[in-house]
Amino acid sequence: MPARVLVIVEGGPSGLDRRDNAAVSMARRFAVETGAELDALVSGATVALPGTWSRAWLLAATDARAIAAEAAAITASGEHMAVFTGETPLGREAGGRLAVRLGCPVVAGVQAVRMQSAALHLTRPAVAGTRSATLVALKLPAIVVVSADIAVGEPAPSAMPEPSALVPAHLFDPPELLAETRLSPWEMDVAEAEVVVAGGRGVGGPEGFELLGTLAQRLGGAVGATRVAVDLGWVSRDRQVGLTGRTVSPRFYLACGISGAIHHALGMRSSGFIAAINTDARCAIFSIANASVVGDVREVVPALIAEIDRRRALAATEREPVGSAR
Amino acid sequence: MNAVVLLRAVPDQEALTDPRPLVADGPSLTALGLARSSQRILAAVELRGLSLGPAEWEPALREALALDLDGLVRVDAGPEADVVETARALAAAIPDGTSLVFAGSSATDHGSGLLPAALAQVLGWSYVGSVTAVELHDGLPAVRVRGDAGVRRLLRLTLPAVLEAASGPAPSLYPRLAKKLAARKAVIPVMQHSADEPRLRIDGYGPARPVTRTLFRPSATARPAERMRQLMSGGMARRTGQTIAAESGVAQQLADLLEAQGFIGEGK
Repeated sequence: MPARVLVIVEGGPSGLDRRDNAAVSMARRFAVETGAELDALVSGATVALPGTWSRAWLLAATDARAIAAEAAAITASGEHMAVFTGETPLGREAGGRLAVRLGCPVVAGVQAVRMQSAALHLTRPAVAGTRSATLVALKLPAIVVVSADIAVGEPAPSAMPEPSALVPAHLFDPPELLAETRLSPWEMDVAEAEVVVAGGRGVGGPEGFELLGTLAQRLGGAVGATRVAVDLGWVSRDRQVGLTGRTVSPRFYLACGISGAIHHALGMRSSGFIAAINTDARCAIFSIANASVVGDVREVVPALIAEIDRRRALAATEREPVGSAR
Repeated sequence: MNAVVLLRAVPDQEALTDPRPLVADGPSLTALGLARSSQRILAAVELRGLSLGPAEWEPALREALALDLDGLVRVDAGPEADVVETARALAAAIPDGTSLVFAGSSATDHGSGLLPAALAQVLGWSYVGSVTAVELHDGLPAVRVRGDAGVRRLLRLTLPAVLEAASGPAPSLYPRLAKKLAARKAVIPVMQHSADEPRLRIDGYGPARPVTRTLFRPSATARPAERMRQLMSGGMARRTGQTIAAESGVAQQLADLLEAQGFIGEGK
């Protein structure tokens, strides 16, 4: 039985993407359960990984074709029983391409993986998420594209494992980037955003929403609103979250001055982490929030913006290389 | 230049009859809408449909054929075709002279979404995902791509390529009556594909796994019992979420929460 697993992640200065982190977490748990050795193929740039790694390769490209080619070369020894990738666009493309290269099974959205009776069992959602299906890989290695929604209980990443090899990947020309723009919090679709900063009557008016827009800009998110705020004309209708607006499930939902009426809660309660700011300690939103702040939005939000700016400035100062002024 | 759009059929969720009739699925129609708009921009000569599925799909495929497709081929590869086998079967059925393949985003049943990339690998073509539009830039083809967190990119399109249409509401496409009548009588060629040995076997179905929540980090200064309560609640039962009083450095604590989830990093 092969006794190695390979994890493909994308490196970079801002650390592991949460979807790659899910892949690392599942691979590490699987390796512990099966006694397998962990290998990492890091693309683009170095990145700190948690735990102990047997071997690592650093690929000087973020092209899925190059990643698939390198992963195929690494797994050619026949020692690997699974290759894990995250549900990032790059991870999915690399997973699909690698499966074709190796002629191996590939499964996306994997929520659990286990060895049972010497066979690899993979569980993924089925029937539009209302059921789960367990599949058995009849050929190894299996390409496992890990669901981004699995629980991750990882130790803090320490450092990038010492690369066994630096791979100069210029095998393929990436598509030429002609232009790149980031939508403002007022342009970004609330259903698409990873962070939604939403306001209700408690925001106080259009100027309060400008403040929320500033915070959303800092967090790379979108501005949302309750029906009351929309009806009062403080924001446009496309910002409305709730039963009569958009249903959203961002990673982080910050409810500012929102009471938490059921028709609003129905549109956002599946968010990953809900934080709420309200002056009323008994408001309904606090019953579904992970973190509740009893306070005035007009005081808390400016303080939060200032704190974010302070931390970013501090981090930028720490990154400044010594002698760079010259 | 010729183009191909990949199509699949699903039961019509809005139908009240039992069994529900099959219709082209939303991602396929989104891909078809993108293909039709691209056809005008790139002056593509032909736009053909291609589908891998059973004979029961044909009524739905005829509906798609009526939407100004120049032809349609169905591939029969048996019920056990996985992503790799499907990609190989479709690649073998793509007509000569084709430069573009349009595919929908992930399938509606389990959302695999790996087929377009696998097909690009079989064909040796480039692949671009989350495409919202094809246009001309300085007279050359380019694609608009939707990235994470509101990022929009314009990329030069290198042909031949497989384009995956960004997920979104399916466009409202209505066939002309003459096309619809012609599609009903059209002969749909069927190509047989003999699959390799299966790579995957379905072991069984079970209840959906619970959606996991971000684990709430217990306070380092809390008593052991309180820490355990915070860990056990883990965000699943939000009634036990912490309450931060505005006087106690609320901005710092909120910033800690955001930082822990990677929202106060570089480049945000």
